[in-house]
Amino acid sequence: MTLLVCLALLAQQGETPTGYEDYLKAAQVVVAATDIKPPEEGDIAKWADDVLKRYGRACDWVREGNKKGIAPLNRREAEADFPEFEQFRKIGYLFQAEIFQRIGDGKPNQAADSLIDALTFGRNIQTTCAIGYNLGSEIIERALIMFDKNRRAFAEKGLENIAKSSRQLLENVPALRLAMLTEIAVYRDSEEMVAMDGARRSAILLRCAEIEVEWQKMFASEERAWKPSRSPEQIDEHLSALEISLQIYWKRAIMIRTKLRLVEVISRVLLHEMRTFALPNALVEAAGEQASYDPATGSSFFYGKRDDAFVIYSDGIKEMGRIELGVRYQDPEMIR
Amino acid sequence: MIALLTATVALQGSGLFAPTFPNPTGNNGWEEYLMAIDIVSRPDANRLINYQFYLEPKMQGNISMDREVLKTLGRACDLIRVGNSKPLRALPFGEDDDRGFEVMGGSRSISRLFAIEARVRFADGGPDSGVDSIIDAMTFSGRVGRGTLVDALIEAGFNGVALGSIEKALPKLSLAGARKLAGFLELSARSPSPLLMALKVEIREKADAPLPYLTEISEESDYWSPPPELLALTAVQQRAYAEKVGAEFEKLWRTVDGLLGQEERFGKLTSGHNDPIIVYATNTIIYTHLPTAAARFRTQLRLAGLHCRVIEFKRTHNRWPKALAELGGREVWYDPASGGPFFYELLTDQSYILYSLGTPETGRIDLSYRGPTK
Repeated sequence: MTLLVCLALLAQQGETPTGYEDYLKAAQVVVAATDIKPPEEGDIAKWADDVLKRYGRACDWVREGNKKGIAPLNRREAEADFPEFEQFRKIGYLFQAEIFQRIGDGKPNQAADSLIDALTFGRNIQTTCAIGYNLGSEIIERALIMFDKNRRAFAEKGLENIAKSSRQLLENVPALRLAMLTEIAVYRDSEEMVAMDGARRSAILLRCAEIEVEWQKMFASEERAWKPSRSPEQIDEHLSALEISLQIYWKRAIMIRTKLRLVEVISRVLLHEMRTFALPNALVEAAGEQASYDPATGSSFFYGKRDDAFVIYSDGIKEMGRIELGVRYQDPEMIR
Repeated sequence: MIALLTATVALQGSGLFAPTFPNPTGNNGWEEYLMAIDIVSRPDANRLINYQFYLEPKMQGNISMDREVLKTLGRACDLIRVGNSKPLRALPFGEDDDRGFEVMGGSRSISRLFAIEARVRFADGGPDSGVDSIIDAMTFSGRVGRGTLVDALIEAGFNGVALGSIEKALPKLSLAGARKLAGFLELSARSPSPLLMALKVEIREKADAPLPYLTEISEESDYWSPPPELLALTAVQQRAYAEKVGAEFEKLWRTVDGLLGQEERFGKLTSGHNDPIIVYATNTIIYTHLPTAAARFRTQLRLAGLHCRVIEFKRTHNRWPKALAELGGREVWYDPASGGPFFYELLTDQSYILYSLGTPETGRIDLSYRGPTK
């Protein structure tokens, strides 16, 4: 039923069918599921086997959708217009289960494929709108925790694919920019705006154009220079809400972008270790200049090793502090 | 015996299989073993397998080179697998035969070749076949190591290579692989210590015939220097001493026999005698330290099995156990070498440390031997 509603919504809006349709089919698979969330404790392997047996088809639909990619969606207000988002969250859990199961089953290269599928799915959902950005980020972060917790379980080909895909996703899917531009577009076309008197509407549209330019400029710069500005004066309550969207999401965007870079650089270090039987002495030795560089700080990612252990993280921007992939170290200083 | 251990093994590979088995039966694992040893004993093959030793210091080789080695010599591993599945009938030559040296050298190369195969299989994303490589290697060394004390020591050495493979492979194990390897290692750790069994046999031989042994070690050689008191013995005195030496060996035999049923907290094996001739005859370096070595090898096997259980837990719970007690009862965490639990601590969310406190003689015991603990 939900599937039909969603498809009908798409048809009404006259959008070209894209991978999003497959995502909706995936959502339909899990719509009745109430027990997909991973348990905090206990037999995770059993949970993974169980949920994948019942709902694993959802992951296959997402894979289909990932192949096609999705076009920006011209809708907002998640609770009203995106009933599928709650299902997408469940699919994020399913991908966690799939990564974990495949590692447990001794299929590390397939586990890498699952990770890439989850990241792609999350990244695509991020592009939809502000609330989608949030949900997509959650899907990505959950998948990355699985990667980080099991990072030495991956094999050579899988690590190579992960390193390549994480960079591609970062470069080819400008998620926050697309989501924010959709927000502006939706705002401009909203019923309130259409009903507004001419002078007030012109002022707001002018400010919208300015915001768009500012944001485009910001997104073109390195993350350490990101700092969304606020309007000098309150032009409109609704406009203020629009600006707040970015105020909320820009930090998360830096977090996710940095984590995707960390995936690449950690994969490169693991590949170096696998190929030469030793951890690199310096990050650049394994990852090269480009991947070692952290735009959030303007310098290289921190890399420390002791014996067989290593840590890599970003010192992050001033407002946020250290960014790690997913796992918190009890005492990172012991490796520093 | 010491000569056997320290001798440079001839690796000229004149070909063992054809002359040893002119009419192969297909029903003796040694046939495949010798075919495999012939493959790895060619000088070029030996250099290839041990390529890491020819690299610049600090270079540790690379996976591409490993793949190359395997492409060229991997058939030897396949032959060993076939041999492992067949019964082993005695070789028609003894340990002092030159061919015995060749078998030893070739077997060492094979244990290294299996380590290479395991590395490649794990890197290629086949953790379960990587586990098979480790088990095949340990099965092979266990089978060729059943016999003399030298064989048992060599087996321990080969197993050291396999333990190194296990240490590197741990984070890559699948759930089934971790279980399979843990089961294999636990079974190995439960069976009687090959070192002590072989030591018993060796001591028995000397207890039964002490005079030839005393005569043998009364002569100076490259490997031992008898004390002046022994060199000064007349033939009659030597015979009298042989009786005393025989009695000492009898005592040692009973001691070793008793060790087999004990927990592994045993120290050095000494006669406690003051007579320099008896001390020399019974307390050879190898005998003194063998029980300690046996305790260490056995503990390393237990550690390897326990590591696999930790990984098994990780693959089911997606976290490390907070304490070994989460893995099971005393049978899991008890360390017979120390008489207490194995030491386990989480270092970071990514790693843990696990070792045995060992005996006073061994000190700390890690999965891979890292030399004496200071």
